[in-house]
Amino acid sequence: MDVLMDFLNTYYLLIARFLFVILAAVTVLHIGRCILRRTKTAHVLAVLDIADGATRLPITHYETTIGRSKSCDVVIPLMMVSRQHAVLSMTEDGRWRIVDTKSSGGIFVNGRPLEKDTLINMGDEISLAGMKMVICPPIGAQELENAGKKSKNGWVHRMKARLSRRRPKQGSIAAALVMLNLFQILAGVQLWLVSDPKYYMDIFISFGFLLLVPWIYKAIAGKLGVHNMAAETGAFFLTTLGICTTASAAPSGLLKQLGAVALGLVIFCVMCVILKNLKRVMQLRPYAAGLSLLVLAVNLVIGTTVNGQKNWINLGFMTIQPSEFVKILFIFTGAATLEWLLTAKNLTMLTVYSVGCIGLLFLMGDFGTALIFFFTFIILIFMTSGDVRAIVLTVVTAAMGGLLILSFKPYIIGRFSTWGKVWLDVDGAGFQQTRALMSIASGGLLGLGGGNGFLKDQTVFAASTDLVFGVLCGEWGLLLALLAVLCYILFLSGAIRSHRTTRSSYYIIAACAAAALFLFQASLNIFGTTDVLPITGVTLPFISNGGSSMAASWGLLSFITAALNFERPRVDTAYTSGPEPKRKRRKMPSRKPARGR
Amino acid sequence: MRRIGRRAKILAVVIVYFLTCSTVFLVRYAKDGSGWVVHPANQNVYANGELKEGGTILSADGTELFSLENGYADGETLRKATLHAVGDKSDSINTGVIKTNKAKLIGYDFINGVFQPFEGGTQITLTLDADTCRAAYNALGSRKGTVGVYNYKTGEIICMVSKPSFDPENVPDLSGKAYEGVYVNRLTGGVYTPGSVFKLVTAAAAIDTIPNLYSRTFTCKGGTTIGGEWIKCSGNHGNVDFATALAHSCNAAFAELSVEIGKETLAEYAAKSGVGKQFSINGVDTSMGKFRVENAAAAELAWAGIGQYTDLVNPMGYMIYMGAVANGGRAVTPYYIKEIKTAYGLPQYFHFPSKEGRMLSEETAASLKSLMRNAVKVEYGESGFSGMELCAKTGTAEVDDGAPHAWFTGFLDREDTPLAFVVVVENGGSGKGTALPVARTVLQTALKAFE
Repeated sequence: MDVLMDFLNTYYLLIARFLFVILAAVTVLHIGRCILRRTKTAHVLAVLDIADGATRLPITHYETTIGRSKSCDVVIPLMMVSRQHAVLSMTEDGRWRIVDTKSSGGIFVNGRPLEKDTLINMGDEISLAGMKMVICPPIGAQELENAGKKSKNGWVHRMKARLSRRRPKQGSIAAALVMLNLFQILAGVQLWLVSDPKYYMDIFISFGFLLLVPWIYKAIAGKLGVHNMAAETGAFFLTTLGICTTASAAPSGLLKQLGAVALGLVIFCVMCVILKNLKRVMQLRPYAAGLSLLVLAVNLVIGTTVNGQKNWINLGFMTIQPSEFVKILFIFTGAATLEWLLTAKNLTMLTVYSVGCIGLLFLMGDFGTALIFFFTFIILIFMTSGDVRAIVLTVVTAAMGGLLILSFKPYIIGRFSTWGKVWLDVDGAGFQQTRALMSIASGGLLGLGGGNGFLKDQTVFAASTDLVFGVLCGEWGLLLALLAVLCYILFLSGAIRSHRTTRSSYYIIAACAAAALFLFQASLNIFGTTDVLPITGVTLPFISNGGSSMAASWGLLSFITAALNFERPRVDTAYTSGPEPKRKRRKMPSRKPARGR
Repeated sequence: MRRIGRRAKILAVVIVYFLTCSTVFLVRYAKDGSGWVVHPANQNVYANGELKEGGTILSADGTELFSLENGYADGETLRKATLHAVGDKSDSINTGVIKTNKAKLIGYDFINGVFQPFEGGTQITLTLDADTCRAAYNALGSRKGTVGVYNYKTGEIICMVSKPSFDPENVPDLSGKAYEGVYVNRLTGGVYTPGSVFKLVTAAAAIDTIPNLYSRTFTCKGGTTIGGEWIKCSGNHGNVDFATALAHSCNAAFAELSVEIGKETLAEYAAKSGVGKQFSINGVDTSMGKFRVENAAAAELAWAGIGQYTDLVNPMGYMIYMGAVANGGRAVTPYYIKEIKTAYGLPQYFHFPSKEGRMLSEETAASLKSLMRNAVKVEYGESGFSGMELCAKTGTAEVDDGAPHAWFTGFLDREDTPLAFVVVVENGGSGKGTALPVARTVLQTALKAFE
């Protein structure tokens, strides 16, 4: 046994450190493919038949705007139609509904004025300010599919088509999970080799849990309506890294962190169920807003102050950071469907609500989180209104307000004063960042091996939370850290690209906000640690040691999952009788002539 | 949906922002990472401020000069003689390998960080010869000064000794006058008034620009009058030709020549010879010498031409000039770090030979060589130098404080032992009397390393 241990201690890491990177790279490759190369594209759901078939306008989204403006999905270039006239959307049970978006000409269905919540049937005659049209099922509407789109004959598109023909590889979640499992096993062995024997059991339980949970989730994902679990696989990868760094830098907190993962998964599943029913989501939004303000207010009153920030609540058996969970409610409230956006009077309520949240966070002294909320607010405002001028105005106002606060609380400037100068005060103000940078450089590209770095909670304050990037780079190498960072970027890319296929703008807005939040928070953490930006002391999503942060990150992930998965209402065959939506078709204009032959 | 989709695409700016910050970080990582690693607070490398384990520094003959495990070399003299090449623990010596290659010494590389799976560590081999350094240190005796010897064909520095030095294992109180400038490697970092060795620069200018130089006769009456000022000579040489003037180091002849050559031309030749240039020796810049005659009167120009006035010369720079003379006008750049090998035997660094720009034309170099050879035969004698084909020049540089600096510099004109050297003894007296014997001992020892 001793001989084996000696052998492992000398040679295990020598090989394993290469395998870690390879396995992680393959995992992230598959995740990336699954997120970015989704085959589902828009297809025709219904057709608006104008003047007895003279003009046929295809409807390709479950939420469609109709109007004279070129930015509408269905453009009717007639003076009597308002710039933004109506929104046509499919309900949960697959029927269509049309809503008047403050048009001047009004809407008539089958000759009668539109009432609120009127459902329309195939064959009904709709009149937009006297412009009559009939909504028809999309039979024989294939040729309309690409109508209205710009012809893609540029050389860029030809090259793209050629490249995608040459490399038609699709990612496989199963492959990603197997690679992740191998990574987890190897990482677990590495940590077992270097850990204190009293933590053997904790490490065994943690890695056992991480090995099994993705497969259990995969089994039940279908029931949640999830068929593309790429985002979750990415999150499992990041969570594994989080458990690895916690096991090294703060081993006593390992099981607590594991509990937070479990809690996070429960929140994630519940969120998925809620998000699936958009009608319910829209009904719940005001309650979510109220609840989040209430939680923050309660936190402010009964919270405990830790390191000058009153953002903790002591529940007796454990302490939680409510502001982390409020992030979920914030995005839940801030996102909206097109119908709501175009019929609601304005976005004042959203602004008032956001100012309330951010103000309460400021009062708590949690400036890092307040900054993240402010950033998310800007994203939400932009996604919902598209009003750049308003955003510039908001940012300028906030910057001035920030300066005002700085003049009242000058100690905050202290954080900025070390920015870029950490090496001038290595044992003072720059203590944390310099230690992190030493750790990062010591690790090189491949790392010293889990548990082998010197950056631990006992030696450097907040090593496993604020400085976790230092631990990650030092022990697992810069390459692995970059792969982790790539996951956050993939989340946002996936959220951005989901606009092609997803069902409602609610999902896009929420997913973009959540993914941008992840990336922004990661940037504050990583670049604060490495002295590229001033240090703010926020956590790295999924990786930092901290129960609230971990659970809330999983909760936020549900928004991204929703955008990647919830592509159509639950039942849509009865009324649309359209083409089988699950059919996989590649959009490739260059192949069209071949079809005709 | 089209509207929302368009807005979503704009969020790519968040990714751009993130990648920009990443680039800033990665550039700093690549540039400064080795500096972060070697910080004494890095507990991956240091335990209680002492380096944990790692590499060794060897001399060319395989003597261990320093190892992180065992400290400095055995033998106090060798420790002192190689201190300025190896470096001290406080990193105060800028040519010290401990300082310049610390990251490599502790086993850091970009890919593996400080990951060290095996025993042993990085091996840094220098070009120095332990015996020659020791001999040079002893030969300098109790005086301050420097000795440099290098192979002008390959560039290997065989001897790099600077005095005063101290024993890094038992660091004495370094505040006294005896240890003034102890952290300066005088070979690369010192500048001295050159005295008569500078006549080799003036001679090169004269060879190229004065017609009928060899047929001319110069009259020395124990000196000569230039611009109304008496330029004193070391002796009364009478009527001498050019070769004899250089051999006897006749101030009168060179004062006359300097004025004839003129300010601009002389300054140009000084610049070409590397006075006033910074050479890079394994990444460490040498100190700059000085030759300023723009505002000099005739007598001052004459003094400048014979290496006095405000002239300053760096010994390493002048040794490179000697290398150029020996090598047909172009010098090979000297270096002292031969090779760095990682713990698993992979070469991490090896020296790539490089040449300095042309300092002399091939003909001028050949003429100077024969003049210097003549000086050895006529003036210095070949006792102790027999068979070495020594070409050299002495210098006795008058300084304001104390006895003159003694210089002796030159090279061996042999294919099998191509060595150029420089010896400077601070306030040592005459070049022939003080510096020459030092060079003799050092060269005799250095030649043994060739056998």
